Amino acid sequence: MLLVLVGVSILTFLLLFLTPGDPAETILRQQMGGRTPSLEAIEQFRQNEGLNRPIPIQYVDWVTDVLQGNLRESYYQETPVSTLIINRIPATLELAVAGMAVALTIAIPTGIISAVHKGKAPDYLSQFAALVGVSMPNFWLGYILIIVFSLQLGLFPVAGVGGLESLVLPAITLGSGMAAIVTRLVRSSMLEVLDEEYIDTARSKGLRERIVIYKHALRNALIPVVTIVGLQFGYLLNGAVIVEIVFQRPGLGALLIDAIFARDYPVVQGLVLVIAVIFVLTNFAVDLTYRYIDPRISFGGESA
Amino acid sequence: MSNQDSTANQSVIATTRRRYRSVKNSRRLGRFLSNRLNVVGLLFVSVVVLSAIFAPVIAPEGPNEQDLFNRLDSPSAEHPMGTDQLGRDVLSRLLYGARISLQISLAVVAITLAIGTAVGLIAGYAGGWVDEALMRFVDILLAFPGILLALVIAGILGPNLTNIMIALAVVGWTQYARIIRGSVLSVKQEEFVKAAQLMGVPRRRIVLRHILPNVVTPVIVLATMDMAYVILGTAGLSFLGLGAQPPTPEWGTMLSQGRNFVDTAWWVVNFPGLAIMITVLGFNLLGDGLRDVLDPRDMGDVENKGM
Amino acid sequence: MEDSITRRTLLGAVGAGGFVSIAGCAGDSGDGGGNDDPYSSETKTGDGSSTDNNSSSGNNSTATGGSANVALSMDPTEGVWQVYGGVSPYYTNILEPLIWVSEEMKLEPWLATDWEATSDTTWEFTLRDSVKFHNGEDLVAEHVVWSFEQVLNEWSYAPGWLHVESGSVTAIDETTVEFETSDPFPTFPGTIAHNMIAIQHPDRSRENTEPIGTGPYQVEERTQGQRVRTSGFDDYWNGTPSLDELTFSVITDPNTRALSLQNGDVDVAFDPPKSRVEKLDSNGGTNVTTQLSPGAVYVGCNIYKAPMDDPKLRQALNYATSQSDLVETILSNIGVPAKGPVAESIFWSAHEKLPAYEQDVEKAKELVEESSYDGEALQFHLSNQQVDGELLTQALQQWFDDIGVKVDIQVTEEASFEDTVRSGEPHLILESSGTNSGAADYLIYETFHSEGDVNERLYNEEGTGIYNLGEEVDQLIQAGFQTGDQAEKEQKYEQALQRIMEEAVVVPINYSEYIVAASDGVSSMDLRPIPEMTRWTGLQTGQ
Repeated sequence: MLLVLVGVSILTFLLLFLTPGDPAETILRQQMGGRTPSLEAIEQFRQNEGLNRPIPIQYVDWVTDVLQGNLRESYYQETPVSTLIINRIPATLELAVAGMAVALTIAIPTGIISAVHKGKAPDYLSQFAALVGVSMPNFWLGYILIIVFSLQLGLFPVAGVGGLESLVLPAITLGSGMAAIVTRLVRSSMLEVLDEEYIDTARSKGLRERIVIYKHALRNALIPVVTIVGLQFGYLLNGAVIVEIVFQRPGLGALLIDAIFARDYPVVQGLVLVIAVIFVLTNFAVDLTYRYIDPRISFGGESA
Repeated sequence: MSNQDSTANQSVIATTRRRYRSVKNSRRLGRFLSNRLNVVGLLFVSVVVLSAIFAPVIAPEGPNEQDLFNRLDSPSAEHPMGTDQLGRDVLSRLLYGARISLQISLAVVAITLAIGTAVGLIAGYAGGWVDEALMRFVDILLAFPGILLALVIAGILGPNLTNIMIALAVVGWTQYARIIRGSVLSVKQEEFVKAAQLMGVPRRRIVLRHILPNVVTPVIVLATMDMAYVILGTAGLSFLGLGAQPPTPEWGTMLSQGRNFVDTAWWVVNFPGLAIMITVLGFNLLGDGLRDVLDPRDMGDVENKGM
Repeated sequence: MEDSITRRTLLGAVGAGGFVSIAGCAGDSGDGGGNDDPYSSETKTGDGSSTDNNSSSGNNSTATGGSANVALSMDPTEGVWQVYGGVSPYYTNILEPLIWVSEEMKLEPWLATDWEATSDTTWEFTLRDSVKFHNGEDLVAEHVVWSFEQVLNEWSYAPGWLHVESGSVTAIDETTVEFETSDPFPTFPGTIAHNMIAIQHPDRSRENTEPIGTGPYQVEERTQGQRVRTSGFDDYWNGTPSLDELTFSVITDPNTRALSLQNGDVDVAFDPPKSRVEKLDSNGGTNVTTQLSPGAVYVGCNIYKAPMDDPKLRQALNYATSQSDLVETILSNIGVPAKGPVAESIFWSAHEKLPAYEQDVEKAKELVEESSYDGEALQFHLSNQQVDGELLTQALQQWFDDIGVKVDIQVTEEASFEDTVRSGEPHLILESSGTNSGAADYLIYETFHSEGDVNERLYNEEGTGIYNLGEEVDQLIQAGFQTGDQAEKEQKYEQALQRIMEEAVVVPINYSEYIVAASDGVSSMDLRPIPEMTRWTGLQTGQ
């Protein structure tokens, strides 16, 4: 687990130093409203930020700071990177949770219908419907949603954060991209459960099909779904990047993109590390849940 | 993640023989076709493939023929899908674009497959520290925001199609490595592999003869769906300003360049959008269909990517 | 509604009074004002102190109250603004510099009423009386000294940029400040006529992000990455702000920004995409204003990279291009067809005097034939931040192809773009220029002088460069840069630009206009050529 974090941070460091575009020049130019800074100013900046030192030493310096809980400050502002990240977490978390909720809202009914009516028209229709969302590039979907639901129907604000109403469209945009995946999970999980003996038992006891499905099968089918869905949180950031740009949500994805383009190395390094921690933790949590649900599952030596 | 592998492994064990025995079973095709969705998927994909092949024949104009004073013309007999910001025929660009989209997808999938299979086989078969080291590396990449990797690669190499492909491939191969390693691990325990080992069959032969065929199914399904995600990934990178170089008629770039026209010159953005959607849908349906036919369960890991 | 229609007339009448009042210092001050320009010769009345807006003419009842929300592409809460308490002085009018920039790109007396070069390297600025800070205190010279010290210590590049070292700004008395420049620097007043060089009160708080300025609006609340909410400042020195509340929201995506306006979420949106302009204008409820900026877009030819070292080829590219077609089509008639690399709104742009290359495909083909061009594809680079850049380059690519010149387009990410350009890699580069301050001299210096920032690296390392024609042009630019005399500056720069265009170092495209869309209720927007200097004091929303 620690190894992954170290690896990720080393990789980030290396990648940043491979990236063309000098941070000193880029940042000063941006600060000076597009004018190019003098060589002295650039030299001064490098000096101040320790960019002149050998990369391994810079890395060790950085790790030393991080171990003391200091993610450094952004090149652009005095704000500590940790503060920047903490400020941005709510918007992304909100989006991720809401997106997941949308995905589940779409996926659970369609997945059940699919499984119950396997091989019949409702199965095909719901599978198809669930796939439509994932098949649309999400910025396109986002703009279409804005035009239909904001401009034409006047239901939601176009962009921003605050309040449930500004969360709806971004959540749909992000969630519909995941719905197909979750639907697949629900469907296959449901099919599996419906094959189990206890369902047959329930049926043979003469319980109504509906009760069998919703009371017995669904509950069991959802357990693996929910855990696997938990894992997807780690991946949500990729989708969040674009959704946050389209809907002007100040979240982690937008921060990452801005920082990369602006060559704000401390922010990129800090953020990548935090993302990696989140990823590792969710994996760990899911592993634990699995163990709890099904103690028979054994793990190889690779629990991250 | 490991747990998924292990669950997948168990079922792979369970289904491998059954699947293997029925390879030549022609009922499979019937089963595949009996699902309407599969047919739809096949149809979509065929349309795209045919467009790509016959683009020069079908397209009314060259993909890059400009006509500045007839820009943003709405669909008409002359331009069935209208003209774009530079007066180019949208239909023609889409048809030629099919070539590019398929080219990118195939290339990326081929690269990811090659790397992923190699790493997965080596890790799974070699075991020990090799396995440990490779899987750690995969873990690191998985915990790494793919978008950063892609941006850096596009940044270093300059944004163009080749580099987009490299970027997406570098981000994408880890899934294959994991799945294949998992499968290899479980297949390795099988009697016939053990037997082969005891008989002194060379490792390479065991891998090629006994292990590879057994891990092929999940990989085929994953690859099919990956075709779709590569197209979406390209569109995402284009949105961030790292798309194909103009005037390449790449769909993602067309969509992204036309994004301001959603409710004005709707044809400029929505036709490329639909083209992407149909292709992605097609590959997804095809992938689902293949999975159901080849292995109805336990492909939970074959999921979710894209930017 | 008298107040909504009188802005321009009043501005004409009141505003120019300021220019008259500084006429005395013009002779020595170089670009220190509008004195030599045609505008100041118009008959103006006015008290010479009030330059801002309509509502200032002694009638405070024009204040209508209400609120407005302005969508910007930049985040006013982020960036380098700790020095000002964490809110950007761009656009917001919260903080003000000593000198503002007028509609005609002239220096407009602001917190300073007067300035004068007292020697080659000293400047004396007289401060306006009875200017109040948001905390109620009066502006005095010490505050100006303090503010400059902050800036000079905050930004490592500031001393080099302003030609002023820390410690060389002194208060002579309550209302007089003296600046000592490190070398003769005639464009000093223009250089500090910049949002970034604002005057603030020493009580402002970096830690609690609390700016204290002199502007018509004061910060009430800031939400990082989203908005700054301000309220009208009743004791503003230059008229009473007409709105109770003015909010600046950041919406970085241009399409989303325009859609937010259409949806009524915001009242004003800067820089909507050109493709939405027609919609926004024809739509009931919103309208679009364009304003000429001091910016220009052009294709730069790397004259040191074969075959671009052949003037015939460069001229051929000029003859292949129709600026008016580009403006009419791709740019939706926003912007003006250009003849040179410097915006027409800058008085020494030489627009009238530059050679015109009308589109002439036959002539262009002949020139290509005669040139050393050998059929190799030219590398045409542009930044992915360049608005409409990909469309412009593709149209040019087609035209160049028509005359037999092959071009490969390379879009790169902004940060690497600058790097690539300075390394001299591309043959052709899509450039856009502009200025945020009252001094535009650097537009010509940095681009075409051998020691300007674009050429410097290669010039020093290899004796070459990118756009620098050499000794003759260098001397003309040098002469123009160092003179304080407007007429001489104009003459030198014009000569330099004429040489540049004769040699076809660039293929001009357009002088830029920027776009502001607003809902129909919004009136009295006081746009300036520099968009960051838009005045909000008189803004009304008709609610």
